[in-house]
Amino acid sequence: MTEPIIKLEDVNVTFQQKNQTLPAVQHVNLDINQGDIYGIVGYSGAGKSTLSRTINLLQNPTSGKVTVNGRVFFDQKVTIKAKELRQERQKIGMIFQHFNLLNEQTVIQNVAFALKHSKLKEKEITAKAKELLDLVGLGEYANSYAAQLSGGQQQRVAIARALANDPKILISDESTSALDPQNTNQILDLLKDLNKRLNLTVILITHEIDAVKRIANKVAVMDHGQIIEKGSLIDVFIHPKQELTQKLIGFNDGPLKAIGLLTKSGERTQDETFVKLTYTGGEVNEPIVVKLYKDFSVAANIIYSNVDFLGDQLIGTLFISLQGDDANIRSSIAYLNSHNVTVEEIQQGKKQNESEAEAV
Amino acid sequence: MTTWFAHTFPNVVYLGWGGSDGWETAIIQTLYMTFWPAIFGGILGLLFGLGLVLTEDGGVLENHASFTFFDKVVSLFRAVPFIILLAFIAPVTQKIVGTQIGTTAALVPLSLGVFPFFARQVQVALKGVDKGVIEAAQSVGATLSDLIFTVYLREARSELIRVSTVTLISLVGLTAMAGAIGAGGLGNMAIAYGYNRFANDTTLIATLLVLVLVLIIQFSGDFLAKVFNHKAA
Ligand SMILES: Nc1ncnc2c1ncn2[C@@H]1O[C@H](COP(=O)(O)OP(=O)(O)O)[C@@H](O)[C@H]1O
Ligand SMILES: [Mg+2]
Repeated sequence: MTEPIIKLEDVNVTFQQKNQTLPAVQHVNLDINQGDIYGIVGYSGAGKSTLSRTINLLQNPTSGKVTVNGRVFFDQKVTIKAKELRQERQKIGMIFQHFNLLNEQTVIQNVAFALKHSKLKEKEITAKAKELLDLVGLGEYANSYAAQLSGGQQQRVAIARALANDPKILISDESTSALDPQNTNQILDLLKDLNKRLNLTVILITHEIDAVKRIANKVAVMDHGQIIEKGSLIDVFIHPKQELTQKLIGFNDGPLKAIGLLTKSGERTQDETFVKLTYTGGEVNEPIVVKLYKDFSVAANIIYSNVDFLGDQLIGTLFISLQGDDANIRSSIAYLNSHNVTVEEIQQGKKQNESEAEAV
Repeated sequence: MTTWFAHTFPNVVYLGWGGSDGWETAIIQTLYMTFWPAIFGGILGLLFGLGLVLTEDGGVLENHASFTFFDKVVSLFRAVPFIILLAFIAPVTQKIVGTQIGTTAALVPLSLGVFPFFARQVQVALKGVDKGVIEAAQSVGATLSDLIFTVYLREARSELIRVSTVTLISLVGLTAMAGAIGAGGLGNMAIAYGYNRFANDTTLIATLLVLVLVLIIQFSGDFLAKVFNHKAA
């Protein structure tokens, strides 16, 4: 493995309020590799923004170590000179929820502002700014002011500005949270496209889980300043360990309700076994059911089925009730397990809310 | 018309246009006492206002000692009533301009009287610049001078014009008091030649002229503030 492009080691940020201390970030360890789109999710106030701001030292940690692009910015204290930090910051683009454009500068001046301290001459700066605006599809708005653009357009300008110095890293702090769904998806797809084309590492901070599902490959969940769970997107989505993670991703919401209702209404008998099947890729619902019946004499009833996309990866979830001989049910589960289908048995005879909390 | 005027405003006409007691002289004195303190007090106020915002907690040059210094100086000068400041700093005035009385002598106390007022106004105007915009500028490697000139002063430009207008108008008010040290001007005309001599017509015309000056400042200020504003309404 190559070195991670961003390495945070035991990073803490404590804010000193009037007469209390607020631990905004606690013991965070995070490795982000070049080319990752790393989602950081959590509710408002979890410490996501503060954590992201430690990466380019807009926020100095209280303790810990921050290494970016192989360079140690902070190791219990700031370890980089102000001038060098300014240069390093140019390699870390940043976009924000409220775009944060200069209102009194035109669109192209906003982008050119980021190039002021590059080696380029004035003419080259203008040319490059124009090129960047074309890249985000806003070439014709070069001489407009921010207030004349829509939210989605303003965010594109902000992206052009953030990319001006050809950064290797882009930190997106709730960059789509103020946008409507259509603009949100366009911006996310643009980030994904930049990630692919430029091998840009993206840190996607958001409280919207759909944004992460759409483009991230890794995800960390933050709560009360801590990272409580992290891993590849698929792992975390299929096997969320923490309750908060399950809540954030709406894990099992629909099907457990369905099972609860069925059990309560007395329509179902005790000899049923409820299982949840999760599969990625090509497997389809119908053949599984048919197969179980034909080969194992197990009657499978689909209670709930769902297909979801994590990026371009398909994730199927199937809640079924199985009826049949115990031994047959065991062997059918074994069969499914051996065919890349994750099988989890759901306790039955419980009330809906209990089973929701204790879902395996 | 001319006879009607001479008849209705005898004292006004008596004072004449040119000459040491004339209207032209008074108008020029008022403009002079507005212009130079606006420049000196303006620069001083801008520096202190910037200092306050840059060094405050969470500011880009956060520094508690400096902030306290700026803050205390501004508060102190604001606390002293102008008419007392006039007398109080007379020795300083003597040192700087070589005299304690007259129009030029008034420039020193007027500058010092207007600067703390302006500094506070500038402070408020600059604080109105979104922290997020400053952060975004820092994230692309902005230097301190970028932050001051391209972000703070430029983004707050229209608001700065607005507070300058307010400050200029209050400065015109202060010039009236400068009559106390023999500085002349329209305010002095209204009080010394009008009010004290029971010449109500003189008071009226002096007041109208001050009003015209204030309105010109107000309208130009409003106009410029609008021209230089590109934020959403
Ligand atoms: N500059 C600051 N001074 C004091 N407290 C702060 C500061 N910035 C953030 N906080 C506090 O730190 C916590 C985490 O905030 P933040 O990082 O913005 O969370 P998130 O981005 O996840 O919503 C919050 O309780 C917030 O009030
Ligand atoms: Mg935040």
